[in-house]
Amino acid sequence: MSPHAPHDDPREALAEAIVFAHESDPRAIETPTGVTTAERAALEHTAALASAACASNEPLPPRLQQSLAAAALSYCAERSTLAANAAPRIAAGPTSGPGFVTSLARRPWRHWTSGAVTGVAAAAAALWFAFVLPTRQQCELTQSQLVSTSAELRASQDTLASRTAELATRTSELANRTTELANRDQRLAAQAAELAALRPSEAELRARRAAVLANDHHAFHRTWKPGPGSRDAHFSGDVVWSPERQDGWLSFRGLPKLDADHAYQLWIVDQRRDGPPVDGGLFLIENPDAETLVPIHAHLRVEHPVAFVITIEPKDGVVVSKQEHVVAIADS
Amino acid sequence: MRPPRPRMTDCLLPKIAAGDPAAVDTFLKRHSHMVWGLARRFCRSAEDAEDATQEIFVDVWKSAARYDAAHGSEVTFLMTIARRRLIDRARRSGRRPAAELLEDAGTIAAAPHQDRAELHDEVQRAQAALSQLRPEQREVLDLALGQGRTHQEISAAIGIPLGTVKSHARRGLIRLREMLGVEATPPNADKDGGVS
Repeated sequence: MSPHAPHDDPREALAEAIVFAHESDPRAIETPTGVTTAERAALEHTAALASAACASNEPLPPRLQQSLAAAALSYCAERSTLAANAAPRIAAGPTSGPGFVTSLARRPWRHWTSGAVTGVAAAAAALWFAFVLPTRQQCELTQSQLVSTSAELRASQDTLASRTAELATRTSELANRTTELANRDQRLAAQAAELAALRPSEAELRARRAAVLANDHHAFHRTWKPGPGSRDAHFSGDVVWSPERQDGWLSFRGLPKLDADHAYQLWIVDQRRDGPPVDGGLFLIENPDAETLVPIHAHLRVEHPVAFVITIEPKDGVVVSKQEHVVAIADS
Repeated sequence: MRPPRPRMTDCLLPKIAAGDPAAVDTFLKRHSHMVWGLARRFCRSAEDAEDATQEIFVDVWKSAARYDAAHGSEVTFLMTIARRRLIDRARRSGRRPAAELLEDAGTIAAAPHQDRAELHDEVQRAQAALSQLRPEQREVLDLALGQGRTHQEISAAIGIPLGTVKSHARRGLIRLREMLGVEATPPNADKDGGVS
Protein backbone atom coordinates (compact mmCIF):
# COMPACT_ATOMS: atom_id res chain seq x y z
CA MET A 1 0.00 0.00 0.00
CA SER A 2 1.32 3.41 -0.90
CA PRO A 3 1.71 5.83 1.98
CA HIS A 4 -0.88 8.08 0.33
CA ALA A 5 -3.44 5.36 -0.22
CA PRO A 6 -6.29 5.11 2.28
CA HIS A 7 -5.61 2.35 4.80
CA ASP A 8 -8.16 -0.44 4.86
CA ASP A 9 -6.91 -2.04 8.06
CA PRO A 10 -9.03 -0.63 10.93
CA ARG A 11 -6.12 -1.26 13.30
CA GLU A 12 -3.98 1.14 11.27
CA ALA A 13 -6.68 3.81 11.42
CA LEU A 14 -6.85 3.42 15.19
CA ALA A 15 -3.05 3.46 15.56
CA GLU A 16 -2.88 6.75 13.62
CA ALA A 17 -5.62 8.29 15.79
CA ILE A 18 -3.79 7.24 18.97
CA VAL A 19 -0.41 8.60 17.87
CA PHE A 20 -1.99 11.95 17.00
CA ALA A 21 -4.47 11.97 19.90
CA HIS A 22 -3.16 15.42 20.88
CA GLU A 23 -4.72 16.82 17.70
CA SER A 24 -8.23 15.79 18.69
CA ASP A 25 -10.09 14.79 21.82
CA PRO A 26 -8.57 11.41 22.79
CA ARG A 27 -11.84 10.39 24.46
CA ALA A 28 -13.66 11.00 21.20
CA ILE A 29 -11.55 8.43 19.35
CA GLU A 30 -13.90 5.65 18.36
CA THR A 31 -12.84 2.03 18.22
CA PRO A 32 -13.34 0.97 14.58
CA THR A 33 -15.41 -2.07 13.73
CA GLY A 34 -13.18 -5.15 13.71
CA VAL A 35 -10.90 -3.93 16.49
CA THR A 36 -11.49 -5.18 20.02
CA THR A 37 -11.27 -2.95 23.07
CA ALA A 38 -8.40 -5.14 24.21
CA GLU A 39 -6.45 -4.43 21.01
CA ARG A 40 -7.16 -0.74 21.44
CA ALA A 41 -5.88 -0.84 25.01
CA ALA A 42 -2.72 -2.62 23.81
CA LEU A 43 -2.07 0.14 21.24
CA GLU A 44 -2.64 2.85 23.84
CA HIS A 45 -0.29 1.12 26.27
CA THR A 46 2.30 0.87 23.50
CA ALA A 47 1.95 4.60 22.83
CA ALA A 48 2.37 5.29 26.56
CA LEU A 49 5.54 3.17 26.70
CA ALA A 50 6.88 4.84 23.56
CA SER A 51 6.29 8.24 25.20
CA ALA A 52 8.30 7.05 28.18
CA ALA A 53 11.04 5.77 25.89
CA CYS A 54 11.20 9.11 24.07
CA ALA A 55 11.33 11.12 27.29
CA SER A 56 14.68 12.32 28.49
CA ASN A 57 15.59 11.28 32.03
CA GLU A 58 16.28 14.68 33.53
CA PRO A 59 16.89 15.87 37.08
CA LEU A 60 13.97 17.75 38.61
CA PRO A 61 14.31 21.43 39.44
CA PRO A 62 14.52 21.94 43.24
CA ARG A 63 11.25 23.91 43.24
CA LEU A 64 9.40 20.99 41.62
CA GLN A 65 10.99 18.51 44.04
CA GLN A 66 9.71 20.55 46.94
CA SER A 67 6.22 21.01 45.54
CA LEU A 68 5.97 17.27 44.77
CA ALA A 69 7.12 16.44 48.30
CA ALA A 70 4.48 18.80 49.70
CA ALA A 71 1.78 17.30 47.48
CA ALA A 72 2.83 13.81 48.59
CA LEU A 73 2.54 14.81 52.25
CA SER A 74 -0.85 16.36 51.66
CA TYR A 75 -2.09 13.24 49.85
CA CYS A 76 -0.84 10.87 52.58
CA ALA A 77 -2.28 13.06 55.36
CA GLU A 78 -5.63 13.10 53.55
CA ARG A 79 -5.59 9.29 53.22
CA SER A 80 -4.57 8.94 56.87
CA THR A 81 -7.45 11.19 57.99
CA LEU A 82 -9.95 9.26 55.90
CA ALA A 83 -8.72 5.96 57.34
CA ALA A 84 -8.86 7.34 60.89
CA ASN A 85 -12.42 8.54 60.44
CA ALA A 86 -13.51 5.23 58.93
CA ALA A 87 -11.85 3.02 61.57
CA PRO A 88 -14.21 3.53 64.59
CA ARG A 89 -17.29 2.79 62.51
CA ILE A 90 -15.72 -0.35 61.10
CA ALA A 91 -14.46 -1.57 64.50
CA ALA A 92 -17.68 -0.83 66.39
CA GLY A 93 -20.10 -2.38 63.94
CA PRO A 94 -23.35 -0.91 62.77
CA THR A 95 -25.44 -1.26 65.95
CA SER A 96 -23.15 -0.40 68.85
CA GLY A 97 -21.60 2.96 67.97
CA PRO A 98 -22.54 6.46 69.03
CA GLY A 99 -25.12 6.68 66.28
CA PHE A 100 -26.97 3.77 67.78
CA VAL A 101 -26.87 5.34 71.25
CA THR A 102 -28.29 8.57 69.88
CA SER A 103 -31.13 6.79 68.16
CA LEU A 104 -31.85 4.83 71.30
CA ALA A 105 -32.08 8.03 73.35
CA ARG A 106 -34.53 9.39 70.85
CA ARG A 107 -36.71 6.33 70.65
CA PRO A 108 -40.25 7.78 70.90
CA TRP A 109 -41.71 4.74 72.52
CA ARG A 110 -39.66 5.40 75.66
CA HIS A 111 -41.75 8.49 76.38
CA TRP A 112 -45.06 6.87 75.95
CA THR A 113 -43.79 3.75 77.75
CA SER A 114 -43.00 5.76 80.93
CA GLY A 115 -46.34 7.59 80.60
CA ALA A 116 -48.03 4.29 80.11
CA VAL A 117 -46.86 3.09 83.53
CA THR A 118 -49.59 5.12 85.24
CA GLY A 119 -52.19 3.97 82.76
CA VAL A 120 -51.10 0.40 83.06
CA ALA A 121 -51.19 0.66 86.88
CA ALA A 122 -54.72 2.11 86.81
CA ALA A 123 -55.83 -0.49 84.34
CA ALA A 124 -54.18 -3.18 86.47
CA ALA A 125 -56.09 -1.99 89.57
CA ALA A 126 -59.37 -2.20 87.68
CA LEU A 127 -58.48 -5.46 86.13
CA TRP A 128 -57.26 -6.77 89.53
CA PHE A 129 -60.85 -6.98 90.58
CA ALA A 130 -62.06 -8.32 87.30
CA PHE A 131 -59.43 -10.87 86.40
CA VAL A 132 -57.03 -10.84 89.47
CA LEU A 133 -54.25 -13.36 88.75
CA PRO A 134 -53.85 -13.29 84.96
CA THR A 135 -53.74 -9.45 84.84
CA ARG A 136 -51.28 -9.28 87.78
CA GLN A 137 -48.87 -11.45 85.81
CA GLN A 138 -49.14 -9.10 82.82
CA CYS A 139 -48.32 -6.05 85.05
CA GLU A 140 -45.25 -7.79 86.43
CA LEU A 141 -44.13 -8.49 82.88
CA THR A 142 -44.47 -4.79 81.90
CA GLN A 143 -42.47 -3.70 84.99
CA SER A 144 -39.78 -6.19 84.06
CA GLN A 145 -39.57 -4.69 80.53
CA LEU A 146 -39.17 -1.19 81.97
CA VAL A 147 -36.31 -2.31 84.23
CA SER A 148 -34.64 -3.98 81.26
CA THR A 149 -34.94 -0.84 79.11
CA SER A 150 -33.47 1.27 81.90
CA ALA A 151 -30.48 -1.04 82.20
CA GLU A 152 -30.03 -0.93 78.45
CA LEU A 153 -29.99 2.86 78.54
CA ARG A 154 -27.35 2.91 81.27
CA ALA A 155 -25.18 0.49 79.27
CA SER A 156 -25.50 2.71 76.22
CA GLN A 157 -24.43 5.75 78.25
CA ASP A 158 -21.36 3.83 79.42
CA THR A 159 -20.56 2.91 75.82
CA LEU A 160 -20.89 6.55 74.79
CA ALA A 161 -18.46 7.63 77.52
CA SER A 162 -16.04 4.95 76.40
CA ARG A 163 -16.29 6.07 72.76
CA THR A 164 -15.69 9.69 73.78
CA ALA A 165 -12.49 8.65 75.55
CA GLU A 166 -11.40 6.67 72.48
CA LEU A 167 -12.04 9.67 70.28
CA ALA A 168 -9.90 11.87 72.50
CA THR A 169 -7.08 9.33 72.28
CA ARG A 170 -7.35 9.18 68.50
CA THR A 171 -7.35 12.99 68.24
CA SER A 172 -4.13 13.02 70.24
CA GLU A 173 -2.65 10.37 67.91
CA LEU A 174 -3.61 12.43 64.88
CA ALA A 175 -1.91 15.48 66.36
CA ASN A 176 1.26 13.42 66.86
CA ARG A 177 1.01 12.14 63.31
CA THR A 178 0.68 15.70 62.00
CA THR A 179 3.84 16.63 63.86
CA GLU A 180 5.61 13.61 62.38
CA LEU A 181 4.51 14.64 58.89
CA ALA A 182 5.74 18.17 59.44
CA ASN A 183 9.13 16.79 60.51
CA ARG A 184 9.16 14.58 57.45
CA ASP A 185 8.41 17.63 55.29
CA GLN A 186 11.47 19.33 56.72
CA ARG A 187 13.63 16.28 56.06
CA LEU A 188 12.37 16.07 52.46
CA ALA A 189 13.10 19.76 51.92
CA ALA A 190 16.63 19.19 53.20
CA GLN A 191 17.03 16.20 50.87
CA ALA A 192 15.73 18.30 47.96
CA ALA A 193 18.35 20.92 48.72
CA GLU A 194 21.04 18.22 48.76
CA LEU A 195 19.83 16.90 45.40
CA ALA A 196 19.90 20.41 43.96
CA ALA A 197 23.51 20.70 45.05
CA LEU A 198 24.30 17.54 43.06
CA ARG A 199 23.23 19.08 39.72
CA PRO A 200 26.15 19.51 37.29
CA SER A 201 28.02 22.71 37.96
CA GLU A 202 29.16 25.08 35.24
CA ALA A 203 32.69 23.77 35.76
CA GLU A 204 31.54 20.16 35.23
CA LEU A 205 29.73 21.14 32.04
CA ARG A 206 32.82 22.83 30.72
CA ALA A 207 34.79 19.73 31.64
CA ARG A 208 32.41 17.59 29.56
CA ARG A 209 32.85 19.94 26.63
CA ALA A 210 36.64 19.84 27.04
CA ALA A 211 36.52 16.05 27.15
CA VAL A 212 34.64 15.94 23.83
CA LEU A 213 37.20 18.29 22.26
CA ALA A 214 40.10 16.23 23.58
CA ASN A 215 38.82 12.73 22.86
CA ASP A 216 36.27 12.89 20.06
CA HIS A 217 38.30 13.40 16.89
CA HIS A 218 35.15 13.46 14.77
CA ALA A 219 33.56 16.29 16.76
CA PHE A 220 32.48 19.37 14.81
CA HIS A 221 34.25 22.47 16.20
CA ARG A 222 34.06 25.87 14.49
CA THR A 223 34.08 29.51 15.55
CA TRP A 224 31.17 31.83 14.84
CA LYS A 225 31.14 34.28 11.92
CA PRO A 226 28.61 37.14 11.77
CA GLY A 227 25.60 36.43 9.59
CA PRO A 228 24.09 38.82 7.02
CA GLY A 229 21.87 40.29 9.71
CA SER A 230 24.71 41.30 12.05
CA ARG A 231 27.73 42.43 10.01
CA ASP A 232 28.52 45.13 12.55
CA ALA A 233 28.08 42.93 15.61
CA HIS A 234 31.06 42.20 17.81
CA PHE A 235 30.70 38.77 19.33
CA SER A 236 32.84 35.70 19.59
CA GLY A 237 32.44 32.04 20.50
CA ASP A 238 32.28 28.63 18.97
CA VAL A 239 30.16 25.52 18.49
CA VAL A 240 31.06 21.95 19.49
CA TRP A 241 29.00 18.95 18.33
CA SER A 242 29.74 15.28 18.86
CA PRO A 243 27.89 13.10 16.31
CA GLU A 244 28.82 10.06 18.38
CA ARG A 245 27.31 11.37 21.62
CA GLN A 246 24.59 13.47 19.93
CA ASP A 247 25.56 16.19 22.37
CA GLY A 248 27.07 19.63 21.97
CA TRP A 249 27.33 23.22 23.15
CA LEU A 250 27.29 26.75 21.82
CA SER A 251 29.38 29.44 23.48
CA PHE A 252 29.00 33.18 23.03
CA ARG A 253 30.42 36.39 24.39
CA GLY A 254 29.04 39.72 23.21
CA LEU A 255 25.83 38.42 21.60
CA PRO A 256 23.13 41.04 22.38
CA LYS A 257 20.25 40.40 24.76
CA LEU A 258 16.92 40.32 22.88
CA ASP A 259 13.59 41.88 23.82
CA ALA A 260 10.94 39.72 25.56
CA ASP A 261 9.15 38.84 22.30
CA HIS A 262 12.12 37.21 20.57
CA ALA A 263 14.60 34.40 21.09
CA TYR A 264 17.64 32.98 19.33
CA GLN A 265 17.05 29.69 17.51
CA LEU A 266 19.72 27.26 16.34
CA TRP A 267 19.52 25.40 13.01
CA ILE A 268 21.80 22.55 12.00
CA VAL A 269 22.50 21.69 8.39
CA ASP A 270 23.14 17.94 8.04
CA GLN A 271 24.84 16.86 4.82
CA ARG A 272 22.90 13.58 4.73
CA ARG A 273 19.44 15.07 5.25
CA ASP A 274 17.15 16.41 2.62
CA GLY A 275 14.65 19.04 3.63
CA PRO A 276 14.97 21.98 6.00
CA PRO A 277 17.75 22.29 8.60
CA VAL A 278 17.26 20.48 11.90
CA ASP A 279 15.81 22.56 14.74
CA GLY A 280 18.51 22.82 17.44
CA GLY A 281 16.47 24.64 20.08
CA LEU A 282 15.81 28.12 21.42
CA PHE A 283 17.99 30.07 23.83
CA LEU A 284 18.32 33.47 25.45
CA ILE A 285 21.30 35.60 26.32
CA GLU A 286 21.01 37.12 29.79
CA ASN A 287 24.42 38.72 30.19
CA PRO A 288 26.14 39.66 26.91
CA ASP A 289 29.38 40.61 28.69
CA ALA A 290 29.89 37.16 30.20
CA GLU A 291 30.59 33.97 28.29
CA THR A 292 27.34 32.03 27.91
CA LEU A 293 27.32 28.25 27.44
CA VAL A 294 24.17 26.89 25.77
CA PRO A 295 23.28 23.19 25.34
CA ILE A 296 22.27 22.00 21.90
CA HIS A 297 18.88 20.30 21.96
CA ALA A 298 18.64 18.77 18.48
CA HIS A 299 15.20 17.40 17.62
CA LEU A 300 16.57 14.87 15.15
CA ARG A 301 19.81 12.91 14.94
CA VAL A 302 22.63 14.90 13.38
CA GLU A 303 25.35 12.65 12.02
CA HIS A 304 27.09 14.82 9.42
CA PRO A 305 26.80 18.51 10.32
CA VAL A 306 28.22 21.00 7.84
CA ALA A 307 26.85 24.24 9.27
CA PHE A 308 25.29 25.69 12.42
CA VAL A 309 23.16 28.81 11.94
CA ILE A 310 21.67 31.17 14.56
CA THR A 311 18.53 33.16 13.67
CA ILE A 312 16.31 35.54 15.61
CA GLU A 313 12.73 34.25 15.80
CA PRO A 314 9.52 34.93 17.76
CA LYS A 315 9.93 33.84 21.41
CA ASP A 316 8.15 30.48 20.93
CA GLY A 317 10.29 29.57 17.93
CA VAL A 318 9.30 28.38 14.48
CA VAL A 319 9.18 24.98 12.81
CA VAL A 320 10.88 26.20 9.63
CA SER A 321 12.83 29.48 9.63
CA LYS A 322 12.45 32.08 6.90
CA GLN A 323 16.06 33.07 7.78
CA GLU A 324 15.20 36.76 7.73
CA HIS A 325 17.51 37.53 10.65
CA VAL A 326 20.60 35.34 10.44
CA VAL A 327 22.87 36.36 13.28
CA ALA A 328 25.75 33.90 13.19
CA ILE A 329 27.08 31.04 11.08
CA ALA A 330 29.65 28.34 11.85
CA ASP A 331 30.38 26.21 8.80
CA SER A 332 32.97 24.08 7.17
CA MET B 1 8.76 -11.94 23.76
CA ARG B 2 6.41 -10.52 26.37
CA PRO B 3 7.20 -7.61 28.63
CA PRO B 4 8.07 -8.59 32.17
CA ARG B 5 5.37 -7.90 34.71
CA PRO B 6 6.68 -6.23 37.86
CA ARG B 7 6.88 -8.50 40.87
CA MET B 8 4.25 -7.91 43.48
CA THR B 9 6.91 -6.56 45.82
CA ASP B 10 7.73 -3.97 43.13
CA CYS B 11 4.15 -2.74 42.82
CA LEU B 12 3.88 0.44 44.83
CA LEU B 13 0.44 1.54 43.69
CA PRO B 14 -1.61 -0.58 46.17
CA LYS B 15 0.44 0.89 49.03
CA ILE B 16 0.04 4.37 47.59
CA ALA B 17 -3.71 3.84 47.46
CA ALA B 18 -3.54 3.15 51.19
CA GLY B 19 -1.61 6.38 51.76
CA ASP B 20 1.78 4.83 52.60
CA PRO B 21 4.24 7.77 52.66
CA ALA B 22 7.27 5.52 52.03
CA ALA B 23 5.63 4.07 48.90
CA VAL B 24 4.77 7.53 47.59
CA ASP B 25 8.35 8.65 48.20
CA THR B 26 9.81 5.62 46.43
CA PHE B 27 7.39 6.05 43.53
CA LEU B 28 8.54 9.64 43.06
CA LYS B 29 12.20 8.66 43.17
CA ARG B 30 11.56 5.87 40.68
CA HIS B 31 9.56 7.78 38.08
CA SER B 32 9.65 11.55 38.55
CA HIS B 33 12.66 12.13 36.29
CA MET B 34 10.97 10.33 33.41
CA VAL B 35 7.66 12.18 33.80
CA TRP B 36 9.46 15.51 34.12
CA GLY B 37 11.50 14.72 30.99
CA LEU B 38 8.32 14.03 29.01
CA ALA B 39 6.51 17.09 30.38
CA ARG B 40 9.46 19.33 29.47
CA ARG B 41 9.28 18.21 25.87
CA PHE B 42 5.48 18.46 25.72
CA CYS B 43 4.88 21.78 27.48
CA ARG B 44 5.43 25.30 26.30
CA SER B 45 7.37 26.53 29.32
CA ALA B 46 9.26 25.12 32.29
CA GLU B 47 6.56 26.46 34.64
CA ASP B 48 3.85 24.70 32.65
CA ALA B 49 5.89 21.48 32.69
CA GLU B 50 6.28 21.72 36.49
CA ASP B 51 2.52 22.19 36.95
CA ALA B 52 1.83 19.29 34.58
CA THR B 53 4.25 16.98 36.43
CA GLN B 54 2.60 17.71 39.77
CA GLU B 55 -0.89 17.28 38.30
CA ILE B 56 0.11 13.91 36.83
CA PHE B 57 1.47 12.50 40.09
CA VAL B 58 -1.48 13.69 42.18
CA ASP B 59 -3.80 12.13 39.61
CA VAL B 60 -1.87 8.85 39.67
CA TRP B 61 -1.92 8.66 43.49
CA LYS B 62 -5.65 9.30 43.60
CA SER B 63 -6.22 6.71 40.86
CA ALA B 64 -3.88 4.15 42.43
CA ALA B 65 -6.74 2.12 43.91
CA ARG B 66 -7.93 1.34 40.38
CA TYR B 67 -4.59 -0.19 39.34
CA ASP B 68 -4.75 -3.84 38.36
CA ALA B 69 -1.43 -5.51 37.55
CA ALA B 70 -3.23 -7.95 35.26
CA HIS B 71 -3.96 -5.13 32.80
CA GLY B 72 -0.54 -3.50 32.59
CA SER B 73 2.58 -2.54 34.46
CA GLU B 74 3.03 0.29 36.90
CA VAL B 75 4.96 2.27 34.28
CA THR B 76 2.23 1.74 31.67
CA PHE B 77 -0.40 2.91 34.17
CA LEU B 78 1.65 5.99 35.03
CA MET B 79 2.54 6.92 31.44
CA THR B 80 -1.01 6.39 30.15
CA ILE B 81 -2.27 8.89 32.72
CA ALA B 82 0.69 11.20 32.06
CA ARG B 83 -0.02 11.22 28.33
CA ARG B 84 -3.72 11.93 28.94
CA ARG B 85 -2.99 14.81 31.29
CA LEU B 86 -0.43 16.39 28.95
CA ILE B 87 -2.84 16.18 26.02
CA ASP B 88 -5.67 17.60 28.19
CA ARG B 89 -3.49 20.52 29.27
CA ALA B 90 -2.50 21.30 25.71
CA ARG B 91 -6.15 21.23 24.69
CA ARG B 92 -7.29 23.33 27.68
CA SER B 93 -4.75 26.04 26.92
CA GLY B 94 -5.90 26.07 23.31
CA ARG B 95 -2.33 25.83 22.18
CA ARG B 96 -0.30 23.25 20.48
CA PRO B 97 2.47 21.72 22.60
CA ALA B 98 5.72 23.63 22.64
CA ALA B 99 7.95 23.78 19.60
CA GLU B 100 10.88 23.84 21.97
CA LEU B 101 11.56 24.64 25.55
CA LEU B 102 13.57 27.73 26.29
CA GLU B 103 16.80 26.57 27.79
CA ASP B 104 18.18 28.65 30.59
CA ALA B 105 21.40 30.13 29.36
CA GLY B 106 24.34 28.58 31.10
CA THR B 107 22.37 25.55 32.14
CA ILE B 108 22.72 22.22 30.47
CA ALA B 109 20.02 19.62 30.73
CA ALA B 110 21.10 16.01 30.95
CA ALA B 111 21.37 14.40 27.55
CA PRO B 112 18.36 12.28 26.59
CA HIS B 113 18.43 8.71 27.85
CA GLN B 114 21.37 9.20 30.14
CA ASP B 115 21.65 6.89 33.13
CA ARG B 116 19.90 4.11 31.27
CA ALA B 117 20.71 1.74 34.12
CA GLU B 118 18.31 3.70 36.31
CA LEU B 119 15.44 3.39 33.89
CA HIS B 120 12.69 0.85 34.31
CA ASP B 121 13.36 -2.38 32.41
CA GLU B 122 10.18 -1.94 30.42
CA VAL B 123 11.19 1.52 29.26
CA GLN B 124 14.60 0.21 28.26
CA ARG B 125 12.89 -2.47 26.20
CA ALA B 126 10.74 0.19 24.54
CA GLN B 127 13.85 2.24 23.75
CA ALA B 128 15.54 -0.81 22.27
CA ALA B 129 12.45 -1.58 20.19
CA LEU B 130 12.24 2.03 18.98
CA SER B 131 15.84 1.85 17.84
CA GLN B 132 14.97 -1.16 15.70
CA LEU B 133 12.24 0.67 13.81
CA ARG B 134 12.96 2.23 10.46
CA PRO B 135 14.62 5.62 11.07
CA GLU B 136 11.74 7.57 9.54
CA GLN B 137 9.18 5.68 11.67
CA ARG B 138 11.30 6.32 14.77
CA GLU B 139 11.56 10.04 14.01
CA VAL B 140 7.82 10.43 13.47
CA LEU B 141 6.94 8.59 16.71
CA ASP B 142 9.52 10.57 18.66
CA LEU B 143 8.14 13.90 17.42
CA ALA B 144 4.47 12.89 17.87
CA LEU B 145 4.53 10.82 21.08
CA GLY B 146 7.58 12.37 22.71
CA GLN B 147 7.04 16.02 21.82
CA GLY B 148 3.35 16.34 20.93
CA ARG B 149 4.02 17.67 17.43
CA THR B 150 1.18 17.69 14.90
CA HIS B 151 1.46 15.78 11.67
CA GLN B 152 1.68 19.08 9.77
CA GLU B 153 4.59 20.20 11.93
CA ILE B 154 6.36 16.87 11.51
CA SER B 155 5.84 17.04 7.77
CA ALA B 156 7.40 20.51 7.70
CA ALA B 157 10.25 19.61 10.08
CA ILE B 158 11.34 16.42 8.33
CA GLY B 159 10.39 17.47 4.84
CA ILE B 160 8.15 14.53 3.92
CA PRO B 161 4.52 14.54 2.68
CA LEU B 162 1.64 14.52 5.18
CA GLY B 163 0.39 11.11 4.08
CA THR B 164 3.82 9.60 4.58
CA VAL B 165 4.00 11.02 8.12
CA LYS B 166 0.69 9.34 8.98
CA SER B 167 1.77 6.09 7.35
CA HIS B 168 5.01 6.01 9.37
CA ALA B 169 3.06 6.81 12.55
CA ARG B 170 0.50 4.02 12.28
CA ARG B 171 2.87 1.36 11.00
CA GLY B 172 5.54 2.37 13.48
CA LEU B 173 3.16 2.04 16.44
CA ILE B 174 1.82 -1.33 15.28
CA ARG B 175 5.33 -2.63 14.66
CA LEU B 176 6.40 -1.38 18.08
CA ARG B 177 3.52 -3.20 19.73
CA GLU B 178 4.51 -6.41 17.94
CA MET B 179 8.14 -6.08 19.04
CA LEU B 180 7.20 -5.30 22.65
CA GLY B 181 4.60 -8.05 22.73
CA VAL B 182 2.06 -5.83 24.49
CA GLU B 183 -0.82 -8.11 25.29
CA ALA B 184 -4.37 -7.44 24.17
CA THR B 185 -5.84 -7.68 27.65
CA PRO B 186 -9.47 -6.56 27.97
CA PRO B 187 -9.53 -3.32 29.91
CA ASN B 188 -11.68 -2.65 32.95
CA ALA B 189 -14.45 -0.10 32.79
CA ASP B 190 -11.85 2.50 33.54
CA LYS B 191 -11.56 5.75 31.64
CA ASP B 192 -7.78 5.86 31.41
CA GLY B 193 -7.03 3.79 28.42
CA GLY B 194 -7.95 0.53 29.98
CA VAL B 195 -5.41 0.75 32.72
CA SER B 196 -7.29 -0.19 35.77
